Amino acid sequence: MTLAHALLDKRNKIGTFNGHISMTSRLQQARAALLRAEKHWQGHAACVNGGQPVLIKRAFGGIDLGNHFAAGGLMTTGLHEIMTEHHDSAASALAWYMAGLSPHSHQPAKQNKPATRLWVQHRKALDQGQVYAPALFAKQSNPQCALVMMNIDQQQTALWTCEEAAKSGQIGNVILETTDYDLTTARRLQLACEAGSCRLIVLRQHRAGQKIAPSPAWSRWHITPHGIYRKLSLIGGRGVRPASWKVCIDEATLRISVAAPLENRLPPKPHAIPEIRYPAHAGGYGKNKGFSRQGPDLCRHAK
Amino acid sequence: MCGLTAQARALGILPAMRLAEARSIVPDLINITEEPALYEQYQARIMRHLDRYSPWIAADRALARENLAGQTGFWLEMTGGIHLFGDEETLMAQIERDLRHMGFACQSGMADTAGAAWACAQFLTGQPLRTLSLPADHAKARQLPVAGLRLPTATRATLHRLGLHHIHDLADLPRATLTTRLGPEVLQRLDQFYGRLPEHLNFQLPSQPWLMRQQYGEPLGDAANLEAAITQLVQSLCQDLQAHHKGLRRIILRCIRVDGHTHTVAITTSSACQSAPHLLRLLAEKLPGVDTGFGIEEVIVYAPWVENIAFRQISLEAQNPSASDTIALNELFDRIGHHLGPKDQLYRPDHHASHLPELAASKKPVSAKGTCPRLAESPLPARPIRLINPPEPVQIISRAANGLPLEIRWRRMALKIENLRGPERICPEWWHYLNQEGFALAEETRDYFHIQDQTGRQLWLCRHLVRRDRHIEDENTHPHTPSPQPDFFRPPCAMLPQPDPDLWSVHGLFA
Repeated sequence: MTLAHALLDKRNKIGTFNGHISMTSRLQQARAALLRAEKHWQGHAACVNGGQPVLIKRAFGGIDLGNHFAAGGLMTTGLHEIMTEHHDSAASALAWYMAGLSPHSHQPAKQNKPATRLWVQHRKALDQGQVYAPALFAKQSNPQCALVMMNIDQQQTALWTCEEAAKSGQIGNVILETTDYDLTTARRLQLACEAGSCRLIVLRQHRAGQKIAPSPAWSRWHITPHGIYRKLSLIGGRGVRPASWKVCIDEATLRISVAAPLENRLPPKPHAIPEIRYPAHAGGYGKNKGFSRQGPDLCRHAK
Repeated sequence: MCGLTAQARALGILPAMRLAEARSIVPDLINITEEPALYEQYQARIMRHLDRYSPWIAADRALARENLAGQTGFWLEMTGGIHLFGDEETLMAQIERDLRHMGFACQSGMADTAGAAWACAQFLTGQPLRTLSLPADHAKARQLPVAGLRLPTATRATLHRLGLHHIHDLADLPRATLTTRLGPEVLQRLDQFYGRLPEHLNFQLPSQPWLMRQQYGEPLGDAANLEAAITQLVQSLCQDLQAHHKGLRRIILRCIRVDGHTHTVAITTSSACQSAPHLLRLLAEKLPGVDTGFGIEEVIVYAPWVENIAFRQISLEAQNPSASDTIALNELFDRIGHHLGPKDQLYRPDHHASHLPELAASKKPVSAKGTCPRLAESPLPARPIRLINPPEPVQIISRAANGLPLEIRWRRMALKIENLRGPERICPEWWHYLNQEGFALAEETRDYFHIQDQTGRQLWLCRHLVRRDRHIEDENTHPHTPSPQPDFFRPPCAMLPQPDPDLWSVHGLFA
């Protein structure tokens, strides 16, 4: 199959999307498909790590992430950001859960040595006290991963440490708590992650209403209390269709799962849903102006 | 002839006798060729054994060289170490018993100087305790034979011919004539016997080959030259280590300047390391601190802490990319650890079996083995993901009838408690209250509540009990103690604001 055929094939598939996807996201999807087709053509797509799948298609108790990422799923490596405030530690749990995500989570990991995780805390970043390590392993009698923690006084040192650890290729997951950083720093971190195939999860301090500085992160998340549940939002990233879900966190295992799977049900195959036409305003999705960055079917629960 | 058995000596055979002469005395003499290597081997074995009494051991080389009777001697420097074995008598008895058990006949003696100790061991026979403390045992020392001075055979023969048999014969003679007639050695040995002259023993110290030293005729004035010199030294040290299957844990680099100033850089690694690039990278971070000044004339690279390394083949099946390489991981932690400032910490979390939450989480160094962030056998109730230590006190705005808070103020935010679970009571450790009753009601007892506020935030609230009746009790138990203040200074009790019966604080945040 030549490149042109692949492209045409993808275009035809994309052509069946009509209705709830706006023009921009269609373009994004087309671009991503083109990129994937090119990589397939060159022979090194989706087999970066020895032929294993590198995208997480399903997470958070069965949410299909493939619909929300132009790449087809959540990247296992690279930079991911979690926006958080001082008074809520759900972001820590989210970071810990994301650090444990793997593309084949249903299979037990066959490892000789436990993969090391590094948790770097910049002292002034989050006013939440220390991470309490026994709670992270509360239900695991034999912890499968070795955890190394750091408390660092200067942000510069914290960022250097993360870059060094990510570049070394010896550490699978780095969690970094830091104050805000600029685009150059984020780009450096992203490149270091790519060099060492490391997943870097940054807990980025963010106040509600504050403008978020741009960054090349693959995904950007936000988690807030929502009654007895939490509202997990995918708010940005590269080629990301934003969405939010109602989730709950298991206190013991720190697993995050969708609170009401039926309510949060994801759209089935695009051709199966009845065609709903929204007036295509320049501003967003017509009826759901309040949730203009979200897909219309995903915010039904927010009354 | 050397190395006679006790039986042969009893028959009249003397050391240094010719074989033909000995054969004429004992015709059926069994002679064995001398084996110096075997002798060395036994000497090393005894030395290794004696190491348990004192680390300072010196072999008596003169005895081994001159005396052909198959004897050997060792000096042990026991200063400050005798109390570990009881007293002098016990120690000497133990040494003799141990050596006899190993199959060697042995005589021991102890004195203030090495020369006197030698004489004691050789000639103070028949005494229950062969120790010589010089000012006190002066009379005993004077009775020792002249042979105890370790003089050459010719000198000893001369002395014998002159009728000088004992040390007191020599010591009473005028010193000036002794040197002119008998040579300088007699007086030197006599002074060493009495401690007037020092005696340097050749102590056997462990060999330390992990040291590289390079001197430069033309001092190194340039940082680049210095770096090249260090690179060369470290590489050769690492090659040596690799040849011996060893790795260093600590490396000390010392640069000596022309004016005598020494700059020392010490680096410790988290695991035994023999890779030169890694060490050079660690050293390179510290090298800008070296001031070359007028030039560096000597560079020393020394590894004081060396460990054995056993490399195993990594199993070929493990193709998992997430499984990390231990050596590379330790090198990474070395690099990070050497970059950290004084306030930064790098640690492995460890679980300490304690009910008190802040004591349960402990920190171990990264190189520590066998750390476990969660002990499997230790019970752990629900614990917050974030622990605020020390706890942040909260203000109670309103309470329910049972004393539990309904509304609190924390970090200048008013929190309405919508859901409250608990309490989980944690008593102080009972071994601190062995002589008191009712330690469960002590002030250190804590009650923990898991609360949820109106926004859904989940906090770990802690209550300390404060005993309100403490002051009253104190007064009741000591009714006759005069009050430090006159009564009229004290307001009536009813006017005093009652202290809060409990202190509330936030100790953690749940996810």
